[in-house]
Amino acid sequence: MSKKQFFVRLLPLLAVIGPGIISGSVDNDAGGIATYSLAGAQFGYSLLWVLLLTTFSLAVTQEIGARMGIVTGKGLGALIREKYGVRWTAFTMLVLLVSNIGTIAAEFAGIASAFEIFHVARFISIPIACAIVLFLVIKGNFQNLERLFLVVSAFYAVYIVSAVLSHPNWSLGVSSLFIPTVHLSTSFLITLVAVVGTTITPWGQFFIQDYVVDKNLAKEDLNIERGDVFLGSFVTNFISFFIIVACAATIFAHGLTITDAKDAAIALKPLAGQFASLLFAFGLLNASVFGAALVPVSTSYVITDSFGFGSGLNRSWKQAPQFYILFAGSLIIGALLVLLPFVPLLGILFWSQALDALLLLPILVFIYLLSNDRTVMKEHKNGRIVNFIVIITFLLIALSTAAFFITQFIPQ
Amino acid sequence: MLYFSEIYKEKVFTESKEYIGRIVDLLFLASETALITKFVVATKKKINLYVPSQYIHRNGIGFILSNNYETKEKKDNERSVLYQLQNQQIVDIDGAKVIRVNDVIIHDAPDFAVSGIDVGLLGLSRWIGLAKPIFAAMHQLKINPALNFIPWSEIDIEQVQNGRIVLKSEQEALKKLHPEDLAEHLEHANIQNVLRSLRSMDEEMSARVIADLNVDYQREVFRRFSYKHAGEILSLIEADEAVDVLLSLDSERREEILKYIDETKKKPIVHLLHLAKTPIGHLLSSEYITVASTVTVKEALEKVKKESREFSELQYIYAVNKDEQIVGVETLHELLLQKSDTPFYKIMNQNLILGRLTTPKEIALRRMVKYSIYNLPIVDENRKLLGIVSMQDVAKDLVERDL
Repeated sequence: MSKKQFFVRLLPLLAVIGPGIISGSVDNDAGGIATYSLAGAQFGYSLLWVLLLTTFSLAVTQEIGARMGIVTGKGLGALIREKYGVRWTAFTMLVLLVSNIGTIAAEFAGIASAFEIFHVARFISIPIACAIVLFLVIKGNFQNLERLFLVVSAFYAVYIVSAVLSHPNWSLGVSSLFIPTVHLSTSFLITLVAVVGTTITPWGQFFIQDYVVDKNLAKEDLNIERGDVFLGSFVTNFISFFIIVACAATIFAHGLTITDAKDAAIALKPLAGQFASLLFAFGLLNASVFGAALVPVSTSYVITDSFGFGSGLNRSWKQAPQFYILFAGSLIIGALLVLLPFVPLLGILFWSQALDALLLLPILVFIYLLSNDRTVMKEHKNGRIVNFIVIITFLLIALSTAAFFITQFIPQ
Repeated sequence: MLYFSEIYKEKVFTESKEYIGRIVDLLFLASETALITKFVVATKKKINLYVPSQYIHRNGIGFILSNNYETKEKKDNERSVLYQLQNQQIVDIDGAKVIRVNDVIIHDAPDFAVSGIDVGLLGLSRWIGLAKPIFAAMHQLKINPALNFIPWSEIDIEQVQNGRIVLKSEQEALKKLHPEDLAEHLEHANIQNVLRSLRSMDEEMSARVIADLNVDYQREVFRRFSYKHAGEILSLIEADEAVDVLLSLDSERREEILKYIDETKKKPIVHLLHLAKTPIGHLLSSEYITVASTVTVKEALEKVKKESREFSELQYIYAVNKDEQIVGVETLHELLLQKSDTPFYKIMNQNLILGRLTTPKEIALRRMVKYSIYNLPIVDENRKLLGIVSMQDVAKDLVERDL
C-alpha cells in the first residue's frame, strides 16, 4: 500500500477519532497536572492504584456517553430534560455550571501560575488571557483550535522522559498500580477524591455525548468510537502515571513539598535541568488556555440546548443571547474567582478537582438510570460489567468523601 | 387559560369532597382543535385513572370530578401532553432544531383543549416556582414579556400523530405571540381551521365544534362560502344562532341561503324570523367597564372603583385589544376571588356571547337565558364593543309591549 493510500484509508478514521482523545487531554489540564503533582509529591506511589481504577471508570463512562449519543441522537442534557422534566434539568445544569466554573477558575489559576514563573502578576495575566480566550472562541475556527491543541498536547511526553530520567523505583511504581494502599488521613482521602475528579468530570460526560451527536455519528461508528474513547482514556492516564511517578521520584523521594504551583516544576528537572520551570510553564499554559476556551463553550451549549434556547457559535448574538451570556459569564466569573487576592492558586487547582468528583455523583446516577433504560437505549442497554464499574466508581467517590468528612472531625 | 405546569400534580376531589388523586397527565387528540379528551389521575395507590374530561370541571378551589364519573381506557389516537408534548424538541419545517416545549397552554372554555405552547423563559420558571416573582418584576418595570407563545395552529398536526413536534413554517416566519393575544388568535385560527375542515368532519363532530365556537364565525362564513355551503353550515347550528346570522344580512342574501338550509332546521328558523323583529338599538347602555387584557386583577378592580361610581349596576368587566375589539369577559365575583397580581388575560373567559345591533330582542333574551348571563355585549362587524344590553331592560321592554 502506498503512503497516499494509507492516509486516505486513515481519513474517515480521523473524522471519528478525536473526542475521546480531546476529552482525555483536557483531563490533563492545569487542574490535572496540579493534582497529579500533589499526589506524587505527597504520597509517592501510593495513589497509583486509584489511577488504574479511574482509567477503567473513565473508559466506561465515556463509552456510555458515546453510546447514548449515537443511539439516541441526543445530548445528555436533552435526555434528562425529556425523561425527567424541567426541575431535574435545572438541578443538573446547576451542578454542571458550578463544576465548570470551578474548572474554568482552575484553568485561569494555571495560566496565572505559569505567568508567575515569569514574574508576571496575575492581575495582568488573567484579564489578558480572558480577552484572548474570548477572541479565540468568537473569531477563531474551532476545528483548528482542536487540532492545534492535539498537536501541542504532545508536550506531555516530556513527563515520560523526565520520569524515566529521574530513576524512579519502577517495581514499587508498577506494583502500586495493583496493590491499593489507603491512609485514613484527611489529606490522603481528599487527594484520592481529587484524582478521581480530575479524571472523570461532569463536563467530560456531557462533552462526549454532545460531540458524537454533533458529528452525526451512526450506529456503524459505534465500535470505532469505542476504540477512540478507550484509547483516549488509556493515553490520558498513561501520561498521568508518569506525572505522578516523576513527582514521586523527584519531590517525594527527597522529602520536598509543593506549596506553590511552580514548585511542581521540580519534577521536570531530570529532563530539563534549569529549564524545568520554563518547560513546566509552557505545558501549564497550553493546557489551561485550551481548557479555558473549550469548557465555557461546552457548558453554555449544554445548558442552552437542554432549556431549548438557541445554541452554538454559528448563531449570532441576537439569535442566541443566552448562549453568549452563559459562555462569557462563566468565563468571567471563573477569571474573577482567581483574581481574588487572598485565594491561593494551588488551592483552586486542587479543590476544583475534588469538587468535580463530588458533583459527578448525581450525574453518575442519571447516566446509570438512562443507559439502563430500555425505552431510551433500545437494545443497546448497559452490560453487567459496565453497570458494575459505574457502581464501583460511585462508591469509591462517595465513600472516600464520606471518610474525608469523618476524619475532619476525628482528632488525628 | 391554564398552564400544564399549574395543572400537573393538582389535587382532584369529587363533588362530595372525596380526595381521589393528583393530575399527572392529559390526553389530547392530535387534530386542529386539540381537544383534551382525558385527564390522567394518579391515585394514592399509584394507579392511573383515565377520566374523560367531561366529568371534570374547575372551580375556584381546584379540579372537581362529577360524583358519577367513569374511567375509560386510553385510545390509540390519544396523545400524552406529559410524554409527547412537554419538554419535547420543536423543529421547524426545514428540520432545524428550534426550541423546546417549556410549558403547554390549555384553555378550559368551552372545553379543555391545547391552545398553544410556551417556549419562553417564563414557561421554564413556572416549573421551578420562579414565575411569579419574575412576572411581577416585569410588570412593575413595564417590560412586556417576549413573544413566546406558539399557537397550536402553527404546529403540523400530521407530524404530531407521528410523535414529532414540527412547525408549519420556517423559524424566521414563525408566528409567536404575546400571551394576551393567544386567545384571539386561537379564535381566529379555530374558525379558519374549522371551516376548512368542515368537509372532512362528520356531522356530529362539526356540529359540536361549531356550536362551541364563538359567534364570531359569522364574518368568515359569509366572506368565504357560497350560499350552498353557508346554508349547510347554518343547518348544523342552533336555530337562534342561525337566525341572528341571517338577520345581519340583506334580505336577498338571506333568501338565497335559506334555500339551502336543511328542511328540518328551516321550520324553526323561519318561525323565529317571523317573530317581532325589533332590534335592540334603543336599549343600548354605556354602563360598562373595559380594560386591556394585560392589566392585573388589582388594576382592573381599581378601574371599577374609579369609573363605575355612577352606574346603576355593574356585573362584568370586558377586555378589549388595541383595536378596541372585545376579547374577553370576567364577572366581578371571579375577579374578587383571584390573586391581585394575576394578569386579566389569564383568567378571562374568551368564549364570548355577543349580540349585534340587528339582533332581535327576543333572540337576545333567549341567548342570555341560554348562557346564564345578565348582560349581552353588542358589537359591530369588527367585534368592536358598542354597548351592552341588560336582561332586565330587555325583559321589561318585552313585558311592557305585551301588556
